[in-house]
Amino acid sequence: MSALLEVRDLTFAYQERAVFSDVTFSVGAGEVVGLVGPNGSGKSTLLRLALGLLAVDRGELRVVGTPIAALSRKALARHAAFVPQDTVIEIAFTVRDVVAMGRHPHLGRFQPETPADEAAIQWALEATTTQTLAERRMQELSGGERQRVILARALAQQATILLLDEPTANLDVAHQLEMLMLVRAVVREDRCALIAIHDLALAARFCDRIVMLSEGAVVALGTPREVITEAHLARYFRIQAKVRWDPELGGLLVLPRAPLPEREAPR
Amino acid sequence: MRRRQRVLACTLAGLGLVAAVLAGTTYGAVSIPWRHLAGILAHAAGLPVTPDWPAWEATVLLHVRLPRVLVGLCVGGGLALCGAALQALFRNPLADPGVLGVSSGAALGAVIALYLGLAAHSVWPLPILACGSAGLTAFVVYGIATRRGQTPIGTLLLAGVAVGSLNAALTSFVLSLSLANFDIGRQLILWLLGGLDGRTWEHVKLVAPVTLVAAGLIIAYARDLDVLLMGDVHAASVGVDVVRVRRVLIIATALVTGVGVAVSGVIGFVGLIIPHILRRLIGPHHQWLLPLAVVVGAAFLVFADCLARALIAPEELRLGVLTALIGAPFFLFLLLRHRREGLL
Repeated sequence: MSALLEVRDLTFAYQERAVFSDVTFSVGAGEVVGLVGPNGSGKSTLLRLALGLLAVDRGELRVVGTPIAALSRKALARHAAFVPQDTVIEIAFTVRDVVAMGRHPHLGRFQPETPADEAAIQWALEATTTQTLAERRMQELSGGERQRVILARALAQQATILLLDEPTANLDVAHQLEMLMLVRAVVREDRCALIAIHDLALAARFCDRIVMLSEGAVVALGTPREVITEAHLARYFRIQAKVRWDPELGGLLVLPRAPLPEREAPR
Repeated sequence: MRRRQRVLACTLAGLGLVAAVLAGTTYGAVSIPWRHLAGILAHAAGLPVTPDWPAWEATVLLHVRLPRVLVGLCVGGGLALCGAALQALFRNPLADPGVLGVSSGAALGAVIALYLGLAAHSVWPLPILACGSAGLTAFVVYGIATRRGQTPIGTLLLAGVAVGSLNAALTSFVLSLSLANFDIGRQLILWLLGGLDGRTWEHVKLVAPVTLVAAGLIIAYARDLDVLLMGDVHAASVGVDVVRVRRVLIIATALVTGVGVAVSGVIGFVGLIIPHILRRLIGPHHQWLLPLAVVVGAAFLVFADCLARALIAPEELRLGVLTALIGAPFFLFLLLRHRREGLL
């Protein structure tokens, strides 16, 4: 399995405060990897580093084998696409306009869209079942529709790596499932996804592997069954939870029960 | 549907521009018949045309009307273009060329040039001081708002307001000093009210090249501005170098605004209302919006200038007063009408 996204000994400090130290993991082709951790554990920062929005202090971040420091913004955008948390968009762009923005890294300054761009846009609309919305305006869409359109925009970039930051925040359960099933469906042999996500049950359900961050360090890495354990949740999330493997579902059932007081957490 | 609207808007804007140029060149205290217009221009271009017009008509057209119209086109087009670009850059419908304090910086430079009497001997000191002071303002505002290579939009707007207010206060200070001298005080006030009277080819030479080059540069960033409207993170994730684009566009708009104010005084609201009207008609796409803003802004200012000459003839209404009188109520109307939809 070849790694599309490699994070090696990554260290980053924000205003002299260390956010990460020596974070190492990789995301291989065909994989959906979840990034979980309590608030402030550095999930969003890690995605911003991978997007090139922040500069790496030490260590390395490679996309498709190339260190991101060596890539121009446009070249990086051809490799990695980003889906942020649901954002309200008050601009009169149509759905198609927004999806077409995904072609930005492929187009020169005055170059009009080619049939290849048109095909990529069409494919992205179809893959996210947003083609019927194409002429609607962004302001008219519901949260779930809007997030599908943003995913379509990312797909139109034809990037191999999808980075998603809490893509299901603010969505109802049906739309959360719909969103993650879409991500799962588009990640095949030649693509991968790294998803920062708070909902542990969804993470367990949709991710091949999970990276658990706590205080800027990787504290657990492996399959959902290996990472999402009662002990890890107690130690790093400070919660008391029940975690059961359900052989019938072939999945994990995660039931958070109560927060743990700071000191009495089991060691 | 959008496509037809765009074609229609382009056609109307083009016709409007031609009409504005015709009106601006032929209308005035003395009218020049339209049929003479082509002849005079062809003759001036060295074509073999036998003059059948009185000599004064050629003088008025070539040395008074034409430079005045050309300066008006550049200033109007430039202000509208900068307004459209800055509104997208700051994702703020209230942004206009005044927002970074650049126009008040240019005004301060010009007022100092007038006060010191530098403008009496040559046309150059005033625009040079105005541009210099506009550039300095942009530099200071950007510098104040930037930390560790990051320039947050909110800080930039606040720094612009603060430095702009300081510029305005200093301008008032110079103005109050000069009131003792009637001539200079009058000149200052006239200049601050904005106008295109007495513009010469020297002014055209200053404003046209800067405006054209900077306008080309700004229009080249049309697609980046579309994406920036969605937010910095969206823009960055499709490959826009947000920091660089912002820096380039701020410098370009400061230049256009600086030379615009330098040759015409303070003319408000063009940069605010023209882009807003156009967005209503053709939508937020900058590859259409920006070029159209240039054309419509140019035509608007030249028409407004004709109106300023006509309303209280033989006196002239100050152009800056007129654009504010048209602009402010119109903007209010837009706001009330589109309260629910938002303005961008």
